[in-house]
Amino acid sequence: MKNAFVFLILPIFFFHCGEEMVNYDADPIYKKILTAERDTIKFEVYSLDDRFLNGYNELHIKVIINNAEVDSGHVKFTPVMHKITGGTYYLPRSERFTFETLSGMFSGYVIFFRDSLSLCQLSFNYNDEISIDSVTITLGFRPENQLISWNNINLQKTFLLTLVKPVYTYSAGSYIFELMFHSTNDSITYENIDNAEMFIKPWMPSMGHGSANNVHPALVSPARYRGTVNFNMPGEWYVYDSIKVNGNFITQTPPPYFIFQVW
Amino acid sequence: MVRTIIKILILILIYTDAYACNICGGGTSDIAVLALDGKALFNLGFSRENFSGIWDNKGNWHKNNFSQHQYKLTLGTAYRFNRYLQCALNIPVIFNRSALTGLKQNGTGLGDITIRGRYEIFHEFQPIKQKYKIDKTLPYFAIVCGINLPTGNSEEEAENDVDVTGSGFFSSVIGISVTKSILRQKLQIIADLSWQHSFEKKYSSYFGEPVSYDYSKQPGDKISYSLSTNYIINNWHAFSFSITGFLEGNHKINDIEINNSESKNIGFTIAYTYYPSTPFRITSAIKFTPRADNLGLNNQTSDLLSVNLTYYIAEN
Repeated sequence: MKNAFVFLILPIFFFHCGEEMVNYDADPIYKKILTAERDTIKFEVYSLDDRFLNGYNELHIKVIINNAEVDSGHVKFTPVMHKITGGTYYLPRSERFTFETLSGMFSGYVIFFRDSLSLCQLSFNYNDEISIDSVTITLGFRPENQLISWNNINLQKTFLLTLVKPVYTYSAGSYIFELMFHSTNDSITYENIDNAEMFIKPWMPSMGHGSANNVHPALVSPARYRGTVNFNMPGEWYVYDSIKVNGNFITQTPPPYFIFQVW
Repeated sequence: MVRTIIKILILILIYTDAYACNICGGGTSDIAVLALDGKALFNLGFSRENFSGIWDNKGNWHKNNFSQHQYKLTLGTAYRFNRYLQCALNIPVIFNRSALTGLKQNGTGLGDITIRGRYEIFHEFQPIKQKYKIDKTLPYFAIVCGINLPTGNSEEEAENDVDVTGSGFFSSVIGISVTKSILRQKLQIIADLSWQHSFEKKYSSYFGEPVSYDYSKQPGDKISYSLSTNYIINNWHAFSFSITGFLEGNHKINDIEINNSESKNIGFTIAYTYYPSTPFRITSAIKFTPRADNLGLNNQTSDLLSVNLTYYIAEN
């Protein structure tokens, strides 16, 4: 009888704590992905990735003049897309790359996208004084870098919503959800949208449920919106983003969404 | 005494209806069943379910990399009206625990209450001259029906994931239950099959945020099955082994069927029952779902440990 009692009660104490979430934050390791050089001037481009990629790119630039790195002023970094059919267009980017003490470089962002036949060329400018132009690059592709564009006929505009974070979703949990939001009237130049209201809805289509305690993205710097998204279960998640500008929804139904594989 | 145990075992078949996840609501619900000479029973159950992973919509299994548990305290009762008809009621209290960083980690609430009726067409044990004798040809056969009441907190009422303790849907169940003794006073086979239909739910809020658009959801119809075998060792001990599972169709959002949202699950249960005295029994069970590809779809896998204390009142 004693043994039977132990067997019956044993499962209650058979606790398994499981694994805790892994912390993927670590000191960033920047990789040099390009050097543009002329005479004694050198622009070195660094990234956390090993190449320029479609979508959001956080870039860091070292300016070296006469073998000395500079740590003041600003850099203008301008990617120009040349269409094979003629004409050019410009990409959404930081207007100026400013010096960042943490990385010891001039930092900013560029959002790359192109049709397959466009040629991408870069131009660098330091303090509106020193320039290097027409550096041709090739773009890599990473499916996790997501961007969505749509036309709004009423406003005669094309909107571009670009995912900044999270790029990789290694496990269920809470993630910073960061986006860039731009628009264009002419498909040649893009402008920041700083007065949008965003409403996100994470959703698992296969399971038919969402998650709680998400924080709708709010403006944190020009064109940049930051919130929190919670993936409470592994699986494929859609994060819908309904957007209002000047009090009116400029997204359609269903709203644009980003797809995350949370494993 | 062995005969009494067999009767009690038949009385108290564990009807397992496996829900998977906290968020889908409810966890596992058990319904007790009375035998022919039973007037009523009361059951107090405790279970701990550890969610180990998930099958995706292609059937691939992925391990959870965080711990997520559901504890459940269940009060159950069953009552026999006459030779043919009995009913059962289950009231669960759910304790959810999740170790997701940055989110609320504990939530408690009433779960979905389940009510079952059972119309028993044929009893394998037949009362003959004030004694029960086993019928050698026909099995026990019953038609089961019932409803699940959305008394737990669904995503509409809950403000956090761990506060979800119910499905939010009314659902109806109809099924059959068959039991046949293979070895007299030693071995039985039990089969259950049921069909569950859930009704559409319209949401006015979702996790604390008002829903300003039309949003309704309806789970797909669900077929649950269970095949069990009981082995009675002696007057005090018995074991059972069960295979349980379900197939659920695509769910609908705003009346539109969502492709690839069908759900499938299979699980295995080993239970041990100890009978310290005739009206009382203690059952300890381990249920696990296999952690392998292509055995489930859109469902969480879990391991469940449970202890049930049952007190049985015989018919006078």
